[in-house]
Amino acid sequence: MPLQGELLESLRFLCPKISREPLRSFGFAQDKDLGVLCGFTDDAMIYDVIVVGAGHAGCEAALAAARMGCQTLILTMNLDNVALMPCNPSIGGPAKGHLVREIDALGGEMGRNIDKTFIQIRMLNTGKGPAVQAPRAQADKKLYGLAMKHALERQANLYVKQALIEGLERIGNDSILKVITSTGRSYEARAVILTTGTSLAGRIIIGEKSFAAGRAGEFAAYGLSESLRRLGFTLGRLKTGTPPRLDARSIDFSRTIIQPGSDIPLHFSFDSPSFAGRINPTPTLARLDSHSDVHFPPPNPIFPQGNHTPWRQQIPCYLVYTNEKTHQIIRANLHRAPLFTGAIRGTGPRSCPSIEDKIVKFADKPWHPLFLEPEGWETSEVYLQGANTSLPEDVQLAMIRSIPALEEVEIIRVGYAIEYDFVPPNQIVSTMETKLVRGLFLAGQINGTTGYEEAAGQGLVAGINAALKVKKQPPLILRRDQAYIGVMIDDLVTKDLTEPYRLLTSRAEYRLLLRQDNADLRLTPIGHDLGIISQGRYEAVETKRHAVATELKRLAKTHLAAEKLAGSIDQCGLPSIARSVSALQFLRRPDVDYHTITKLGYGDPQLCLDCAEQVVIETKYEGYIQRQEAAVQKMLRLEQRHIPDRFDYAGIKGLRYEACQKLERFRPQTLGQASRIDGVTPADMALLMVHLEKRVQGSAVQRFRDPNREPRTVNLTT
Amino acid sequence: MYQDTIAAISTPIGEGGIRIVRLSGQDACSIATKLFDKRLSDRRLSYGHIIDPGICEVVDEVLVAYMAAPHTYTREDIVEINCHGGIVPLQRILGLTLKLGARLAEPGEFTLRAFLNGRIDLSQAESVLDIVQARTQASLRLAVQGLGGRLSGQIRSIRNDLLSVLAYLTARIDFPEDEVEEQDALEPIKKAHFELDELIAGADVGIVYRQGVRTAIVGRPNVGKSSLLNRLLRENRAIVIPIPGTTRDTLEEVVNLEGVTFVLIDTAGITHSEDVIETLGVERSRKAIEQAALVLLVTDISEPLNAADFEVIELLDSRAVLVVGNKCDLLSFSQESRVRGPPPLLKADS
Repeated sequence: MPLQGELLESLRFLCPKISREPLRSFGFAQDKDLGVLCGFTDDAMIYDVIVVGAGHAGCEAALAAARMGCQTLILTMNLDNVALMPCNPSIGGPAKGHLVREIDALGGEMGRNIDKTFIQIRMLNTGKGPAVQAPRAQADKKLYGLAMKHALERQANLYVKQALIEGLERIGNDSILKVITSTGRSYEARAVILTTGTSLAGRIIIGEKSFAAGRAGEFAAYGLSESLRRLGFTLGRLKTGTPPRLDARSIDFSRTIIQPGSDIPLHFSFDSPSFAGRINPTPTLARLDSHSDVHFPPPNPIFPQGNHTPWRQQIPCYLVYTNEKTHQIIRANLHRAPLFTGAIRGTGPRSCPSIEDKIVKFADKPWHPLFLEPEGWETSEVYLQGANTSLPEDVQLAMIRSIPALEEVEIIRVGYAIEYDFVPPNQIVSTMETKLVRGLFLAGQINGTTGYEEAAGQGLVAGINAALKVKKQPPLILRRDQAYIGVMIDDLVTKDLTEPYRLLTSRAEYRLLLRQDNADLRLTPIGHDLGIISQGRYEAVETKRHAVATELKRLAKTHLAAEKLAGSIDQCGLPSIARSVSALQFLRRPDVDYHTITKLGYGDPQLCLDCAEQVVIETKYEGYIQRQEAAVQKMLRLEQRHIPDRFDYAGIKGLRYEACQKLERFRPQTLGQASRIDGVTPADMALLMVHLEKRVQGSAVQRFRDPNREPRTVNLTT
Repeated sequence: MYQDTIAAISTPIGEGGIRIVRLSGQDACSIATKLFDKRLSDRRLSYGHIIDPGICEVVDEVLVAYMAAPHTYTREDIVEINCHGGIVPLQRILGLTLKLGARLAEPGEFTLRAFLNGRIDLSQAESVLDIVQARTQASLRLAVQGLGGRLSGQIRSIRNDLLSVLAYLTARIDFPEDEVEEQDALEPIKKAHFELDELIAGADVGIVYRQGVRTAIVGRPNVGKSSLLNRLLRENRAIVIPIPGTTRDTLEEVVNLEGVTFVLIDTAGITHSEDVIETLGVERSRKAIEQAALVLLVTDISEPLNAADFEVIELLDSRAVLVVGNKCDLLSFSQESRVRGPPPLLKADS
């Protein structure tokens, strides 16, 4: 492709010093660290942290706790399903891609793991501003799980066991928690993190059929739901669904539209080699074009390749559309759809409606796009993105076969809906710890969220906070202006959840600050401070921060003389400049990028691409970024005012009943959180402030100075 | 929340030589500087003029006191503008401070700030809080009733327009692959912007409303409502601002009677076609009564009440009603003695 050649040219131009260092293998066992355990365990052993569940939340939680030095045990009912992707085979996308970058910057595993195992990656929303651009990768599902399992197995301090947990108990008053397996064994720990996904009293529904299951082919966990109720928790019920998987051999790919992967090298993790200079140690073109060194399994030849992407082997996705016939078949069978017959009671996510829901809700839309997504390098299984359904099996087949490319399709796995128990998250605080049981943390779908990335983000924070609690250190609370993870958790603890929660860029009011491209700059210092980001990586990020700042200063001082530049500007096809401007001012123009500056001879050829990207964004969006920073400063005043745990709302004279009820239920930790609770008015806030002030003025002892409750605050300049 | 600058008229409604507009907050000084033609200095009273910076016109001759934080009532920067020119320039000055970025203070907010900033103790603050609560509820009721839901209706419609733009943009950004059909997002935003601008322009008037007693003059046709209105306006050498009403068929006048501001909802000054005269009269009265806190029921005292009078009387509810017996100049002495007694009766010979 011509674009590719041009791009490589410009890369060469920008990075003339290419070290021809060989690319590391993409094999899974890169770490020399064999993950030494600290000795034999016995029944009397009290672990620091036990993680129940080894999905996306559980793995991050366990790895973080173990990396922070805690003796950690992870329990899963099926070790063959570690980090399973029971639904879509992709990671990333708007807001979710942001999450993965943040998880990576905080020392989580998801970014690294997907980088090792993706079969395709793309940057979405490239036509839009940098705040909403996001990478998304298609995973080889099996390899993803396997790579994560290996990461667990090679992690020092982390014990891995297969067990179905049926009970959870508090032992006496000394804040030790005990989990009990279905075979009767029990394990004890100072902190327990539940990441049970959809397995709590899970029930699968397909058409007229329904049966108990945690996921297709797995047990449901009933005992744990009961234990939670016995401990005093309120449980709710949610629903989610997954589309059928198709056999690639029965698909007519010639009638689909090929969606190729990225031409440009892309990765999630700062640790992974990439052009965008996930610099470690320096960005190199060697890594770029020596893809031949990278060993991937051979792709299943059943998948048409489309254009070869030279930087790396990828498999495309394929686009098809539903049509009137598809919709007719669905409409004719709505009386058999559990969603409409009342067989499903739980609420599903509006952002991810089932195909039958789409046909009913968007009745005037003549077609819906469906994506055929290969589930791995070698498998023939194809995920039908956009068609999640709980219609009876025969209807699923009929409706899919109404699509031209899928006329003769065979379903490998049938689509289904699943209902499961969750713990409405007004019962946790921002550290992910429950209000009711100290030392018990919840993360992932048990909190009513949906999505692998959402789960992983919560798991990471829960793991970190469980470790901090065990070590008696102040907790980590990420604020809404610091991270999407912070936005998500804050939403969970301040808003009534009426459907599975999915993170969206539109939920982040400071999204100009929370970009996926600056997640490393925003959060690496926090990860480093926690001890889960290595010194080397921390320094690399600080070097980048410094390079960006230096370049911004240099550009501000560099002046472009109008008359001298006239010729070259014409050459670049740009409108001429009337008077002498600084390079920084010039860069603000919409048609100018760093490449232009370099072409005119004012760029820094040593600057890594990643740094150049930051320089451009910081310059072009400076005004907006400053405005958001000012808004953040305003918000921080409320955010820094803490509300004591057992604050007596009923004792506030004149507080409206509704506000009082909501505040009692959510028990916000800060005034900022209180202000975000639906139904709390400014007048209520004024009253609340007065009464908080009364406490402070009234007592010399500040009761909420408990070091365990004082959140870790990190001031960042991004 | 408590970082913005607030402004309010801090002297009670009523006649008085001097009225004060008070500003508190970090922008108090800069806002005042933009309006005042002399320099401000800390803890000095400066004499000068308030100039409307938009049209470079003198609004009032004033004394301005500036007190820098923290040794002030609220512990924030405070500016007090002492005005001489009566209620209208006063409200214009308040309006100008709002235009320059101040926010109209909530009832009791100066005191609330004083408390939050540690200036006064809780018992002092609590008494204010009672007022805050009471007034908040009252103003909520007024907002709902007084404006007949019209403003909230307008806002809801603008909100809905903006919501659908937001939904569209969100869908485009967060669901890039769902092939959301392209729409023009800018036009609806521009339209909403325009509509909001219009509402804001009208809001200066709103301040005046809020300060005054909304008073409806109702009565059957030809009973002398117009004359009464004109009389009220003229006789008291009142300051009159004709303002287009919230509906097209009423006119509202602001009049200051012995220091108290009234907003007269004038159902009189409207011409209408002959055939629908009765129904329009009733409908108009009904609307006026709905919006008012005080009703002046005008009757022709020289004639017995007729069916048309009763039609209007039936519209009255528990609101304060003053019955005005008009045309008493046509009354003989013997007739006059018959009309004494409740309800309170004002006699007028307008």
